[in-house]
Amino acid sequence: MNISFDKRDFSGRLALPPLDFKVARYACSAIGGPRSATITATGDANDLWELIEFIRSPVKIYSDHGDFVWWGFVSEVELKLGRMTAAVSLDGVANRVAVVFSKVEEGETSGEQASTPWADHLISQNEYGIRELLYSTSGATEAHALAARAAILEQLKFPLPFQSFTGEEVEKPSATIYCRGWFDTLEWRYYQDLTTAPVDTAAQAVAIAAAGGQFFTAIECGLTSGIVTNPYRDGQATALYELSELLRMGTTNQRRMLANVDIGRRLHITEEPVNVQANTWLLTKDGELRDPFDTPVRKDTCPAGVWARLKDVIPGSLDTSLLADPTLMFVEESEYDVSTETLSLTPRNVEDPWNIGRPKDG
Amino acid sequence: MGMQLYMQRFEDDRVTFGAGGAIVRLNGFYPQVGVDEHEPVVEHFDLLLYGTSDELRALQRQITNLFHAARRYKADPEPVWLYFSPDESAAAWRAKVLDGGVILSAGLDPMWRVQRLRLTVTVEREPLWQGPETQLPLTNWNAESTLGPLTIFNCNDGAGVAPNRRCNFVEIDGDDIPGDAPALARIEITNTLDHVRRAANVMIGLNVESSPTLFNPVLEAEAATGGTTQASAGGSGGSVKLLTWSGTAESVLLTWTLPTALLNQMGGNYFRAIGRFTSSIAPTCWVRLRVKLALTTIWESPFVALSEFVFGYELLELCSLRLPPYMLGTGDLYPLTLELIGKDTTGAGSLTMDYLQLTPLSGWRKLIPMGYHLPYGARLVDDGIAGRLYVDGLAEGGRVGHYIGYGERIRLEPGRPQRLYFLMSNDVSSSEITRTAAVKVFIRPQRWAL
Repeated sequence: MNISFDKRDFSGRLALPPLDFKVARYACSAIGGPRSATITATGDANDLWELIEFIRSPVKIYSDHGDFVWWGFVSEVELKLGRMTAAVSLDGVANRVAVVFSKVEEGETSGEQASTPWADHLISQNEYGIRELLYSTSGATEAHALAARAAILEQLKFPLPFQSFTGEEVEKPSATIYCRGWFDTLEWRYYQDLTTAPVDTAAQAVAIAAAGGQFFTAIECGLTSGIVTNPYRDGQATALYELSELLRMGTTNQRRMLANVDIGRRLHITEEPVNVQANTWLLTKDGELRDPFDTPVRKDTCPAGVWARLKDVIPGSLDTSLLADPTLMFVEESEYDVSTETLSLTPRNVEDPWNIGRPKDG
Repeated sequence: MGMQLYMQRFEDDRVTFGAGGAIVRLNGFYPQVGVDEHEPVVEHFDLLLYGTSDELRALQRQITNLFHAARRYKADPEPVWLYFSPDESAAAWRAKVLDGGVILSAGLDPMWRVQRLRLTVTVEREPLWQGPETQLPLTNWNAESTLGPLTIFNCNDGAGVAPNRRCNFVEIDGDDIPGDAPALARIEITNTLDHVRRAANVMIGLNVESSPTLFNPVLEAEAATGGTTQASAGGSGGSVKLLTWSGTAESVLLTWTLPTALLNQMGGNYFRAIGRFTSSIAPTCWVRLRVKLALTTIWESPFVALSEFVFGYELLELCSLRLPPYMLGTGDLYPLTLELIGKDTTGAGSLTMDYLQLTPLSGWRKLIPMGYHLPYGARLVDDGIAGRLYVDGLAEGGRVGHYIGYGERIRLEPGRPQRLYFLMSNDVSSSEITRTAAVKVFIRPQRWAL
């Protein structure tokens, strides 16, 4: 497998330092397409430090068959050097900040909700993209809220490096590059729509993606959901949350809407495929995925968003009439481990442990 | 006939573990046979050193310094090698040393007093032995079994007369590749087109599995149904096809028949579909490939936006696909059709296509410059033997490493005929079919056992 890193402004490829890069794993999802990837690098410590500058660089992974199998951006770089771990991450960066507060002036005991205007750090935005933070605080004056906004912006405008030290020294210097898919960047922006005239939810999804998808080059949606709702959004939830809710709401065909970001950073919104034999993939009891012609699927393509049926596992005598078909699963997410060449499939409706406890609204 | 066994990084730091002299090899050396390319082999052999105290220290230091260098430079183009041959008449083969050390014998004190030192050398090496570097004779429609360089073009229509007959492959006779493991290859590509436009991207596909001496990977657009054939001196076969559609719905632009003979040659292996488009392409134009059995679609690729390839070259990679898309072996495969489907999200559109090359993927290499490209007379060297990729032959002299290589380095199979296919683009949005290059191929054969 090969990896390419591009410049943050997508204007060309970056020259790689002379390190040994290896793709450890990557995952794709029915909602969003490429989701996460982990790349390791070993070599000279001075060359490893250069990887810090790759934060937010677009990254693509090529298979040995010459096709792209994963694409996204670098969200975190972690170095292990001797006893020190040094890391830089985009998590926690905020270069556009506003403060929501209860406006309690002097002499008052309560107040209405208010918010400051947005403040921008343009240099950081030009480099990394816009990452918004709507900071909430209770009882404050406007001056207090403005001061808090300025302080937060100053502290969080750039990725913060951090270091830690352990008792054990690593055998050789190494780096781990954590990558995320472009769909994740919808979480960087809040979405507001103050109109109230009913709109088809698919059209709303397009509007949300257009407003929040600063890195998308186009949005393709050839469907109407048939469900019309009030598009009003107060602007206190991220575009990712608002879009995810609409996709989950689905269409009048009782199917979800799915989203995929392709190699050209185009977002495609489609309806979840219907389960018919002609396009149902096959799953052996060993966990091997095969296409509808019973040909093994290349694991490194990491397919997601397809139906798969178990082959010859459920005995014919079992009465499944009051159950959802136990032989059928919708591949919600797949993950490919490069070193062991194993593909792990996650079916729909399994709770993502990384979402537990994460704030999604407000 | 004596055994050859020595270790060196450069010739002037060679340490010979001989049958005489200051370093004597005891009890022979019996190299283990590795089984996994990624699992190093660890071996031991005993030595007896002769000399004064200073000479013994110096000899021991020579050996341990080489192991220090082996650990430090194992990823370097100049690592430490262990050379071995069972007899002195044949050239020694080499294996890369990864680590090692010496263990002094228990009888150090009495032996040292009689100016001897017995020690055990432990060597950790890569499992494969590499033979001497040799240049491979190459064949194509322009010459046969030549040490070349051999001329290639940017299409495969056979137009012209040797030594300028248009083909984009070089064929290698498997009998020219000794060994029992795939051989490392150095591929040298010299830009021989004297033109202001420089060569840029180079794509190389290796065909070992798909009947390499018979299989023609190029599907001419004019050989497909659909579209309108237009004469074009810049097109492969002297023509291109104008493809048009109306509306935003997807349209079948071209349909090629994949006959039984071709499917048998393809054998269910993987191919990289690369299209040569000769018109400017609207940024809203998408294409996909579809394999059909009569009216039934049995495989299709995702839609690919032609303009997402930001460098704007005419040679555009569409997808990788298996043909036929099911594995039924060869022999009596039913003919299929391959369709090129197009759509434009803004409405009616058109584009011009020259050919579709189904590049076999027994090996795949894509070489992309960071700029400057490859001027006339310069040579691009993809050196899988030393692990280097560079350009030389520039007017200013010297070597420069401004190309990036994607894909595993090409390895050639011993004992099997094979072909390397080349496609090149230039430094602006074009890939002239008359673009020429001269190719040489060198190998170091590899063996598991000597």
